Amino acid sequence: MSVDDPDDVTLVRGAVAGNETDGSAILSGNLAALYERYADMLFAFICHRMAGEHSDVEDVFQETWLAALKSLQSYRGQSSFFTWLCSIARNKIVDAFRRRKRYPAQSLEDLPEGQLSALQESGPLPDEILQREDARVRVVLAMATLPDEYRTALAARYGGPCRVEEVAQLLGKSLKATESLLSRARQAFREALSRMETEESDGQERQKRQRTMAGE
Amino acid sequence: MDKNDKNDKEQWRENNTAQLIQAGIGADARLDPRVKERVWLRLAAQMSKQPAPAPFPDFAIGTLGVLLVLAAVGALVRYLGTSAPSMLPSMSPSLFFIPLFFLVLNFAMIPVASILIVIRRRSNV
Repeated sequence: MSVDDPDDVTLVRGAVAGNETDGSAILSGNLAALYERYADMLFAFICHRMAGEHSDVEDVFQETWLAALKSLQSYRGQSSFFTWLCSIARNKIVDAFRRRKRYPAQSLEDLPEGQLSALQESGPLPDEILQREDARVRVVLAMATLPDEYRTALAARYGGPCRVEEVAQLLGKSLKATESLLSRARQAFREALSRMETEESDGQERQKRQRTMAGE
Repeated sequence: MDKNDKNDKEQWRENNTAQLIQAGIGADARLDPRVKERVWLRLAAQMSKQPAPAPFPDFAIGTLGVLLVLAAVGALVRYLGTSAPSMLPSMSPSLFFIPLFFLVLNFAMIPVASILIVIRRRSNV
């Protein structure tokens, strides 16, 4: 989101208020903005979490959004909207695997903490890292925290992949401004990834301490 | 660190960031625009079917609150205007009416508090 874009909490509150006062246009408009902001990221998250079960990804994606619509009122903004969506998606993925009686093999904790952000500066990334579903999920989660403009630019440039000229055209900016934007976006992405890994590692540390204290 | 090392590091960083992003949101995990549109239409259809939640009964609860406050005031006025011995010869009237006044006032505060909570939520305080 750019400076002028409303944040997630404002959009959700607007949507809920719109629904309560039968303002379905407001609900629809605000939800459309959230859908536009996170649909691609959520789909990528589900794809990676379902690791190869692509036939179910679309169903889970749809079920997640429908469930989010139903329980929009329960979103209070304690976590980011995307994190909230991911928690719904996780439940839907478990349901899907339960239906098929198969479960995803890896968890986010499998990848050593801080690995992605540290590895980025030390040389080329090993292929096996890039193949790991948990590494990909981390990338998606980090991307989701970026402002819309950065995310769009990075997704077009590297996810596309498009040439810088095409990205400039897409964003309606000059070539120089786009290069500068991409540079800032890459920096923001690295910081987001690093921040996320630090938070994860803090969380794991806290859990370990709690387990140790409970064992004593 | 000399200039070449710095450039190398910068280059690794850029390439690796690109590779990571490609791995995260590249072709394997890209949402087909047709699927995106289809799911949105399904969501929009669901929105139009979704009934608006029942409105909070502000008026009914407000009226109940007012009635209970009036009852409390009534009890107090009655206590102040009644000669104690004629009402309850066996006990002091303050033992009866003062607790009754606070009890009714407490009941009256329940709807008032619930309305305040709703108002605060609506204004996102």
